[in-house]
Amino acid sequence: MIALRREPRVTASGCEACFAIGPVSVVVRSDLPEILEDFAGLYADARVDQPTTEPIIRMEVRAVRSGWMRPTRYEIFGDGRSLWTADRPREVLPYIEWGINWRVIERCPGYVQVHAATLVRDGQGLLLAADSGSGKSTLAAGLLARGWGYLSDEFALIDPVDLSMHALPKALCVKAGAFDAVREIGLPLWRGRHYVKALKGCVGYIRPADIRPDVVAAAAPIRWIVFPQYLAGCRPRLLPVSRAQALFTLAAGTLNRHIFGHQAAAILRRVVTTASCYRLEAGSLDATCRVLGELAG
Amino acid sequence: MDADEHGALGAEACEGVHALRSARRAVPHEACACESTAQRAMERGCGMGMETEMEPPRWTARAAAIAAPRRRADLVEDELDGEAILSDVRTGGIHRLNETALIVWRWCDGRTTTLQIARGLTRQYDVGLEIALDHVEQLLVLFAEAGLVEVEASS
Repeated sequence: MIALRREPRVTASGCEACFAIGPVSVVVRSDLPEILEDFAGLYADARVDQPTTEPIIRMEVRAVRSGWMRPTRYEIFGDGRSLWTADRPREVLPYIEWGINWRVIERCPGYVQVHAATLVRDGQGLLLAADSGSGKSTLAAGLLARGWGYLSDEFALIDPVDLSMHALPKALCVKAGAFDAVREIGLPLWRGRHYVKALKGCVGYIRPADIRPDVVAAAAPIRWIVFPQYLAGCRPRLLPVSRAQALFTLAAGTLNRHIFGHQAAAILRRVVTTASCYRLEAGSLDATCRVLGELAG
Repeated sequence: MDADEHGALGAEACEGVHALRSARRAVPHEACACESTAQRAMERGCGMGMETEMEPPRWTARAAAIAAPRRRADLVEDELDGEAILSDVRTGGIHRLNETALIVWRWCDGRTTTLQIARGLTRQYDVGLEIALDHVEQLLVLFAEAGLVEVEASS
């Protein structure tokens, strides 16, 4: 039997467990206990008996055995649609995570969704917008270790009416190159394990609850917009950017802009008008977190 | 702007313009990325730039074909601190114009010629006609490549 805080519900097609993650409910089902155990452990604090909110995102992992001589493969489904097939067990969790992100984009159309990490300090929101590979998650981890509140590692979920950012507190995904930096600030990788993620290579996860129990913050207004870029050996500094530049960059990183059409620019204009916008030349994690700490006062 | 500024330019300057255009045709595509164009503009003090989500433009003889560009009427323009964001409702694209690009954009009324726009810039900025014309043409090519202006072929 798999070891979960709550026993998984047994269904005709395997076991399933429910989670409440920010504005979505996630139901994960699998006929492979070890897969479900992995995910349920990562989101132990988000376990619920039944879906509590709409939308409900349904992820499923099925073993694919195409012959007794052939190794088992793992097919990942999102809301009933086949998304990917993984070759190894350690590829499955990143694919589930990725699938949930993809489904959030589609199933949460009420928010303007910007590819960004979002954090909170004293009730004021920080939006760290950058492409993958820019050190955004590592920087977010560093700030969380210094007492910032957590909203999201992947999405800024922005309410188009009041412009507040909402939590989607998924596990932080850090790449192998940042493992040492994460350990140095005392944050444990989930189970000390490395997973294999397509494109990103070897990754590990940090459970928000392992940072501190109350790390997830309430929705907050956007006070600072920062575009970080890691430059090895650089002395970190913040450089103001024009609001048009900030708007353009945010718009380029808006995942569901098609839903809002040209209204997206109008909404983002209000966002950049009420926030301070900077480009961050990021260096060592400690020094960069200090610079952002000073920004937040 | 006056409609007949070609005449005021003089034969020598006209030759210069043609030389510029001819030289541009000979430049390999790879050497003319959007970013390097903006960078060159900055270095020359013109500071003219545009950011777009489109692919970088492919330099062709199109600059010479832009006589009196007309900005598309269906673009949503949002001015912000002297710069502007253009939202293309047709394609979903977004473009940023910096201060000088916005000035050029405003002159794209279908009547003002490329040369007239360049002359206008020389009055507002400390820049010579040749350089201004060079950058206006490059910018108009960016506009055209991004589908932001309607272009009528030069006679």
